[in-house]
Amino acid sequence: MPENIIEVKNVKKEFRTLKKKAGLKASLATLLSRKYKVIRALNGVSFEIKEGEFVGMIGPNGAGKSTMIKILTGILTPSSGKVTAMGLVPYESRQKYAQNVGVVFGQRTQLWWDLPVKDTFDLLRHIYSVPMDVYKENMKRFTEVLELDKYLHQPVRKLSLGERMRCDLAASLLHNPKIVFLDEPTIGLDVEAKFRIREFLKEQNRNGMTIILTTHDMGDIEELCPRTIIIDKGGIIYDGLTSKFRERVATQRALIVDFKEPSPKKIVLPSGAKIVNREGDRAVIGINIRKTTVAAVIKHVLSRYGVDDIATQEPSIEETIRKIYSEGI
Amino acid sequence: MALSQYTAIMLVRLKEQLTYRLDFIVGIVNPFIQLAVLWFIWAAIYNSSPEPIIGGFTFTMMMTYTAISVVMRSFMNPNTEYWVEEEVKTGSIAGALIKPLSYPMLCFSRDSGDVLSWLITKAPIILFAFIFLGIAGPVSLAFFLSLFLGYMINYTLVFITAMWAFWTAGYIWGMRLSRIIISELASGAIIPLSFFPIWSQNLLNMLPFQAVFSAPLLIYTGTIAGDAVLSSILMQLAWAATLSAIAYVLWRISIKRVVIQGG
Repeated sequence: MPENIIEVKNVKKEFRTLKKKAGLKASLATLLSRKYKVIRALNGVSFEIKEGEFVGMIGPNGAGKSTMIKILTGILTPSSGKVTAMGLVPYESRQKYAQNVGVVFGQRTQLWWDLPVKDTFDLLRHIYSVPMDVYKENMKRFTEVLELDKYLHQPVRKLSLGERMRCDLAASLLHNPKIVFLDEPTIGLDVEAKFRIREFLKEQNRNGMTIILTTHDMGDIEELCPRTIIIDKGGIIYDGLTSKFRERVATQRALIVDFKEPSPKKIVLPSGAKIVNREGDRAVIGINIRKTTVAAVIKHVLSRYGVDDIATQEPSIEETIRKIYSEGI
Repeated sequence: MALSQYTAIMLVRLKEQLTYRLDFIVGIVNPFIQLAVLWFIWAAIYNSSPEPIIGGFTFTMMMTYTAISVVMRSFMNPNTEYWVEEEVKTGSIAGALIKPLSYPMLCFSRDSGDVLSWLITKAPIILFAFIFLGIAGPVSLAFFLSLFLGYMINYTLVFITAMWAFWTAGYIWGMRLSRIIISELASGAIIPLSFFPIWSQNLLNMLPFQAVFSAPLLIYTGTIAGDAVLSSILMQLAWAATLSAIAYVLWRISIKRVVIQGG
């Protein structure tokens, strides 16, 4: 059995923010008397992660995932509770801990804005004291898998989001970190960039790297992470196998059908499928995949009605979480 | 080549500075304008005064003081307040905190990179002052030690101001402006402190600002000599130690308050 590499015990985090009302009068009032309110971002979170795991963390916006990641990376100090990772307390031995950790914040870059990407890589080699042979080997491999060669000599500010993200990912792994935290690394990326990044992460994980990923994309989780932790309102509401969670919860798919004119007045569907919404020529069909399959419903519809367009839709993370609340796991 | 972390940061910052061409040119021209303005003001003051010596300075001494002060001012201009403000405001400080670096040292090495780039942009004004204006060299070589201590004291003052960013969610423009105005006046950067009334001289001598400009400049012009030089340098050392300790404690407290803004 692999050892625990991260242990989180009953972590709470509170932020104090200034209460402000809109309007000039209220703004003047806050100059004189200030009222603060306490926001509890994490409300007693505990979990363990074993070496070599690939864990997905999901949850709606403002659920506390990012706060959790920032505590795990040592940037934020929890209000109470304790985190140990690789035998260190991240926020107490930040500098030492950082040497073996890689982090990507999808919404910001850690590359040096006005300089060619290569210069940032070179700087990181000095910052993490990466031996030259390791550096060269990593650079060669990353350049190949992430196809970086076209961007290496361009200033960062001239890169597109997808290009920059690939470079950021490479930058965070140059020093062979043992644990990697990825905070929404695929946000806003096109299919090609997503594919490259996923393949790259899979390979890193096979080589023994422990990876913790937050995302809004269920596709990332399903393809990469055997284990999922769902955080909502500052607490963990699910921690277990991704497949089990998927099977239990995600029993609904939506099928969006645009009928040819004139569209049928009444649509007959097989059992397990029903009309959720109907607007003109468009119908949204809800399918319970325990009772039937998406393919069977599509076949049924196509064989009976004239159809212009047909698309399937997966439930979003927000819908899935709502379902966990109403039905339990 | 394996450089120390902070040397590497300094060199990258130097490289980055050299990519802005217009900024580079403005940086060369700026001190010339400052020097010209001050030159005309002092010439007018000395021409209209019946005394050839004002506040212990002859016109030639005053011009040496002013020229060296203008050159010094262009080096005593760290960007740390601006960076810390920006990094706290946008939350990009996260990128610095995930690295195995000390944040204060990171700030200092970035500024050192800037100073290196200024050595290039300020070379013309230095050459101009010595060759065309006939400015004399330093009376005592202790000036260079005093200059270095002055730089360190100024840096810690800037760093201390920058720490306010953690307490105000990154808005320190007002603090920064106050710091600049106070230190311009109270340090003797523009007007030698001997021009002030005695009571305010006594007050200013108790503050750290005079250790930044006045102390090295008085050694340069030979206004103070002998034991006075030694005690001036000891005074600077004391300020450097005290302010560094304050800066360090403030940093330890402030970092605990960090909130990463913007997700």
